[in-house]
Parts: sequence; structure tokens; C-alpha cells
Amino acid sequence: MVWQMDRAITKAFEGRRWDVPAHVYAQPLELYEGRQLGIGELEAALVQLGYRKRAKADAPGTYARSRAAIELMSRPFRFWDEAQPALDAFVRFDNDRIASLQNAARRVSVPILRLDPLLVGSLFPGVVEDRLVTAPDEVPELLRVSLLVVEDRRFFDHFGIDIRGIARAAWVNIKTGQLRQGGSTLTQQLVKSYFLSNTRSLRRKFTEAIMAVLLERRYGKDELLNAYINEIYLGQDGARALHGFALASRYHFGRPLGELDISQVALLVAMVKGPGFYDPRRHPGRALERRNLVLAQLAQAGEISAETAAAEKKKGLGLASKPVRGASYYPAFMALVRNQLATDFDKADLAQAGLQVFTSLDPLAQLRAERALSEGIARLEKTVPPGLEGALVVTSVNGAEVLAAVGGRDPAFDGFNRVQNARRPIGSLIKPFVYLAGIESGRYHLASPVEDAPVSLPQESGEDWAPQNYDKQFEGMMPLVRALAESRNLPAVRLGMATGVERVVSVLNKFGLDKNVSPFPSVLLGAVEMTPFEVAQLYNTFANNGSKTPLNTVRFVLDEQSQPLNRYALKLSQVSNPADVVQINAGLLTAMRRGTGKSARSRLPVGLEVAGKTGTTDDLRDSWFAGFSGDRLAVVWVGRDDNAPAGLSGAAGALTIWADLFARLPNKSLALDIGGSLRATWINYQSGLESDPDCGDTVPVPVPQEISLVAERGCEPGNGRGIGERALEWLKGKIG
Amino acid sequence: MNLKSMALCCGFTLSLAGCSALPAVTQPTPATGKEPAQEVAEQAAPLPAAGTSARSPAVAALLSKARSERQDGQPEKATVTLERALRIESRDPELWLELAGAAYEKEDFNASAEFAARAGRLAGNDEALRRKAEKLGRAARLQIE
Repeated sequence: MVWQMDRAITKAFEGRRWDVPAHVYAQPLELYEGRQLGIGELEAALVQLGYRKRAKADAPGTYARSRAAIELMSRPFRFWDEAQPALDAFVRFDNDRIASLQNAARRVSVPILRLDPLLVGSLFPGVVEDRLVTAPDEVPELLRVSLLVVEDRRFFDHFGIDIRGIARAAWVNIKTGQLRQGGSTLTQQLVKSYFLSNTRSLRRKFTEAIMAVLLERRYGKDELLNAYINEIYLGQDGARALHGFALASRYHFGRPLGELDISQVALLVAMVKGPGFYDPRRHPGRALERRNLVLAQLAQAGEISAETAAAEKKKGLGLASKPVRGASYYPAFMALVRNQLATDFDKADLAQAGLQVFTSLDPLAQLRAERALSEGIARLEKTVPPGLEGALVVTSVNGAEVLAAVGGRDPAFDGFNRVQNARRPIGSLIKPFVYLAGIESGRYHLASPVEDAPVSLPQESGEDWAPQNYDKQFEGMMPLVRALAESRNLPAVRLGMATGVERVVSVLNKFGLDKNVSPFPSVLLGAVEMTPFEVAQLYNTFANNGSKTPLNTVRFVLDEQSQPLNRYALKLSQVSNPADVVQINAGLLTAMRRGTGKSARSRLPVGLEVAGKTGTTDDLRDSWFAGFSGDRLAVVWVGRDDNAPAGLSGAAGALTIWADLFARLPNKSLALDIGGSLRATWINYQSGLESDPDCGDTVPVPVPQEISLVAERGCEPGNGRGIGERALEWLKGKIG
Repeated sequence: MNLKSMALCCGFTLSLAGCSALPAVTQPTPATGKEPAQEVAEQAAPLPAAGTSARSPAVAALLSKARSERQDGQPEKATVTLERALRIESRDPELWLELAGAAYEKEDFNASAEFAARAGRLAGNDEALRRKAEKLGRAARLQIE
């Protein structure tokens, strides 16, 4: 009986050892001349890092701002490759770019400066949920003292239960005839919180008391107190239970525990007694009254002076204007980090105390991604029934680093993480793989004629499968580039059947899809389920011209002594001929210029070249978009958790969110590597015949050097004019 | 905005970004006898081809740091520095060539061959660099076999 209890309570405690958690950092912000970064963005980043604004940046972690410049002094930080001392810098801005970066004191140019990275959370082996957890050395002394004064004055003297406390409580209970007072020690409260029971039976209390004694026999008081600070229940945010003072501090005040003033600490301690009853937002009067009682107790116990207590009592509740859910709380990204560490680390390594995990999270991109998704979904719900959900993942192109991940419209909700767990048919997102398989077979290129005409395929069931176009029309013969850009279904099915579905599946696998797909014809229209994360991996291989880099969220893991334990080096393997992939990328660029992605133009900055593909599934259930610029890639999914129709095509839904995000992210234009075995030319968009660019409806395409195209009659390329002559004419037009 | 002014605007933006836009490697921008609507201009605009860019001070500083780290016999450190530079400018073939060299020194010949191939593809008109990349790639592949 007792040994069972002992085992249960030890397991609960060991499962949540909070002593020194692994710290998880975002990527450091790099400052350098020419960087696309506005002054407001740098200031926001500094504020998020907790830099204080002063008239002059004269201490580490301070900054000063004028109209077009920021002066700052960075904090010293031990990076993985070097220890960087505190550095002062003078950053001038021009048009949302860093115009110059100088040493503030001497005004000498500095080529590059890293700021200390943002601490975004902590990780614990064996714990599924993510929490903000405080290490013992981060707990403010006042919090420790207040808890003892208010909740358990004899904490350091008792052995888990407090006989005098129980006797007093029992007396009150007998007097009133009810179970009103607990007399619980902090240890008992901790036990209670592990097993999440609110029943006030005597039997329950008895078990708790024994477990508390058992716990005390095994662990020191400091360990127990720290566990308490991280464990105790402090309220509810919708479905999310708020456990621990660090999270409650972030949630109610928007600040780390260490930065709270006395009245704020007192408020949190006041809430322990009844987090719902003393909820400062729902019952501010009650909460204030109890907070002041705590302040009075602190003064009485001599922990603060009477004057201080009086001054603190005059303060308001000091709450953040609204509960802070986002900002430093990134459940979808943290889940990716946990996944990556779990596959690459053995448990022994992860269990080491004080690990430092340096990730690729870009806090600015994350914030914009969160906003783009929640605002986008709210906007879409003006046209379709409410209840939409979504997911978004942003990566860098080179290096394939995950910069941001949003698992739902409420980004801070640590529930169903759709980035990794929403498995949905990808619809037309499959088409680039179908056409790539065709091009790889050597039988097709972008100007090849394909047929948009009915097709009927026998199925195993005996019935025929007769897929349709989205618009139920047939357009006849067209060049491959147009079939891809306009996402015609029938040419994709025809070409895919001629090439072989197995070949399409093998392209998916070599581009990074790590699962078996049965080669049914319906795969050609995207009847294959993937998560947004998997789609991002596949499209990243397109964005890298057929060079696959595994998606990565962690750069370095250091141990407590800042010695490298693991590094995730840049890996790439060329899985497809770049010349073949560049042709598909040109097709995806055409989709954005004049095909299914065209509507994004109005949202994107003028001149930004991007490539991308919409995806829509049957009955408008899933709305997908995957696209990339020269250096950023994002995948957006919008749909409903119960798989009911979302009422949105890829273009009407996901694309609008993607475009809003890309308009707000710093981006480089996509550039196509057309060289070696490819040449660029213009073809007629309808006929696919080679044409002078100014003659009729033309579109530029790269085609293999060895292919000679038939010229459109009357539109022969060059019209007899030499290239030099045309360039000269263009120049004249420029001057004139 | 017509095609011509758009092309000019693109070049201008690039040079603001600290890159000097070289003429497209593939096709010169065509003359237009008419003033097409913006949409048509966008549709038929030439393909955005890769050009070479002038190196920014940040990338130059990191490249020279990486080179001295390699000289000091610290290819791993150099790799970390080069990856940092590639996050700023991923199309600089010199960075890839250095990275291939550092990988070779670490005896990671697969990576060396891949990085060298990337350097070669980004080399553009820089024949000397392309030859260096090809030579290193061959050497790395020999080690794999």
C-alpha cells in the first residue's frame, strides 16, 4: 500500500523534474549594412529581448532611438562559436534597410553584429506539454518568501505534514461542522496538484498526507519548493491550464517573473488559494482585496516594511492590457524542436541538466505568420461559415531552416498542432511532381503540347474514373507550361498516365516524402495525404532546384559548459537534374504571373518574383498554397478539423494568407538558374510555338538547349532583327 | 508601369540592395513597339535570371574569417562561419567553394562534392571559379570511390 504510493508519487515527481531545464533560443538577430529591416522592427526586437530604452545606450541591454537611428549596447553572450562581449553600435536606417552599422563610440564601420538570442522556452525530457519553467536561480526571493509566509510558515521545519496546522484546521472544521480548512503544507498541495483531484474527502487527504511524507523523505526542501513554483495551478485560459508562476506571470503581466514588482508577486501568491475565485480579470475587487491581505501579512512577518506595504497596496493590479498568449509562446515550433531532438538525441543526452538549444526560429517571421493566419482566417470567415482552421510553416530556402510554425488560428493554443498533425489530401499541389516526372523521362519540356480533353480510366472496382477540370471545361491542346500554370487536371492525368504513376511517386519520395504511396491514378490529382510540414519539405526541394536539404529547426545543442553536443550541419543532396527542376519552377512562376496564383499580385510588392502552386480538394474541403521567393518558402493550409467543406479553393483561401505574409516578410526575388543545358525563349501561350515576345500572347520559358521549337507563323523570333539591335532599340526607348 | 520601366525598376532595386545587376545571362530585355498594359507586361516579362552580385561587407567579413579559420586548421569553425554567411547571401559561389573546401578537410567528401557542384552552378561567367569548383568536386568524388 505505502510502497505503491511511494512509487506513484516518485514517478510523478521524477516525471517533472524542473531543476535546470534545457533553454531554447530563437536565432540571433544579425545586424549588417544593407539588411532589409525597418527601425520599428529593430526596436520591437529589442523590446522583446527586454532591452531598456534610455537617453543613451550606456549599459548592456539598453538602447536609445532617434528618428532614423538606434544606438544600442548588446548584452554579452556565449554563442556556440565564440563568446561575444557587450558591444555598442550605432545603426542608421534608410527606407526599411540598415544604411550603416557603426561602432557607437568611435563611429567606425562594423561589418556585422549579432544580438543575444531571444529565450523562447524550456524543454524537459519526458514531458509532453510545454511550459514556461523557472530554474531555482531564476525564482525571485520575494516569491519564495511570500509563499512561505502565506501558505506554509513551517515549511522548513515540518516533514511533509504540519501537525499544528492540521490541529488548527480540524478545530475550525469541527466548530463549523464542515470541511472548510485544509491546513495543507506546500508539499501536500504539490501532491494534490500532481493528481489533479479536488475532492475533499478525508481518505483523499490521508493519502495526500502520506505521499507528502514520502516525497519529503526523498527530496530536499529546495527541490520541493521549486517543483511547487513550477507546478501549482494558477488559473485557466480556455482549454489551457496555467501551471506555474512563470507562465502565470507571462500570461497576466506580460513580463518574466524576475521583472515583477512586489504588488504583482503578491497578487500571484494571493491567487494560489483559489485561482478561479480570485481571478484578477473576472473578479478584480476580490483579487485586490486578497492581494492587499498578502501584502499585510508580508509586512507583519517583517519581510517588507510597513511603508512599502502601504505604497504597494495603493497600486492597481498591474495586469497586461489583455492576457499574453503569443509573444514568447510558440507551441507548434517547440513541437518541431522536440521532434528533432527526440530523433537525434538519446535520452541520456537530453536528460543532462542545463542544455542550451539554439534554434532557427525567427521571432519576427513567427509574429507575422501568426498574424497573417489569424487575420486571414477572420477575413475569410466573412464569406464562408465560421469554424475554419489553418496551419502555416515558413522556411528559408537555402538551408531549409524552419523560421516559423503556426499550428492553428489561435497560435498560442498548445492543442492540435496542424503543422505536423493535419494530414490532408494535397490536391493540385501534386502537379509539379507529375510534370517533373514527365520532364525527367525526357519526353516533355515546358513547350510540349499536352491535351486538355476528357479521359476515362478503368478502376479495380470495375467503374471508370473520369476526372474533370475544376471549371468542367476542355481547352484542347496547350503547352505544358500553361497546363501547369492554370492547373488543368486532364493534361496532368494524361501526362501522368503516359509517364507512369510510379515515377511520380518516386519523385515524391526522392524530394523528401518519407512514406509509401500506392501508385493509383488518383494520386495524379493529389489524392495523397500530407501534413503542411511534409509539403514544405517537398517544395523546398523545388526551391533549391532539386537539391534536397532536410527541414531543420535546431542549429546547435550545447551542454551546461557551453560545449557543443550536437550541430545540425547544412546537408544537401542533388536528387534531380537542376535543369529539369528549373523548368518546373518557371512553370510555377508563370502560375503566379498569369495562372492560378495571379490574384496574389495585388497583395505582393511590385517586382517581387515568386513561384507557387494552389491546391484544392473535392468539395472545397482543403485550401492549400505552397510557394517561394528567392529566399523564403511558406506552405499554408486552410480547412476544417472535421473535414467538412471549407468552401474555399486554394486561390480564394490559402493563397491570400500566403500573399499577405510574403508582403510583410523581407524577401529576395526568385531568380532562375538558366544556364548550361537550358536556353530561355518565348512561346505562344496558346499554341506553344516559338514566338517573338511582342507578337501575340507570349510567355517566356526555359527549354533544353537541344530542343528546336517550331516558330509561330508571322511571329518568328527576332523578326529578322539581331539581338544587339533589339537591345539598342530598347535602350533608345528608355532614353526617349 | 510598362515593361521597360519595370525592368529598370528591378535593376534599381537590386543595386539598392547592394548588388549590381548584371545583364540577364540569358536574353536581353526586348524592345516593345507598343505600350502594353501592366498585366501583359508582367506576363511576358523576361524570366528573372540569376546574376552575380557585389559582395556585401558583412559577407566579405565572414568569408575572410572563415578563410583564416581554415588556415588555422579549424574547418569545423569555418563551416559554422560560412553557414552564417550563406544565411545572408546564399548565391555567392565563393562561399560554397570555401564550404566545399572545409568539408573536404573534414573528410566529409559527399558534402564536399555537393557544395562544389553548387559553387559551379552559381559561378555564372566566372570561369576560374567554375574550374576550381569542378576540380575540387572531382577530387572529392575520387575519395568517395
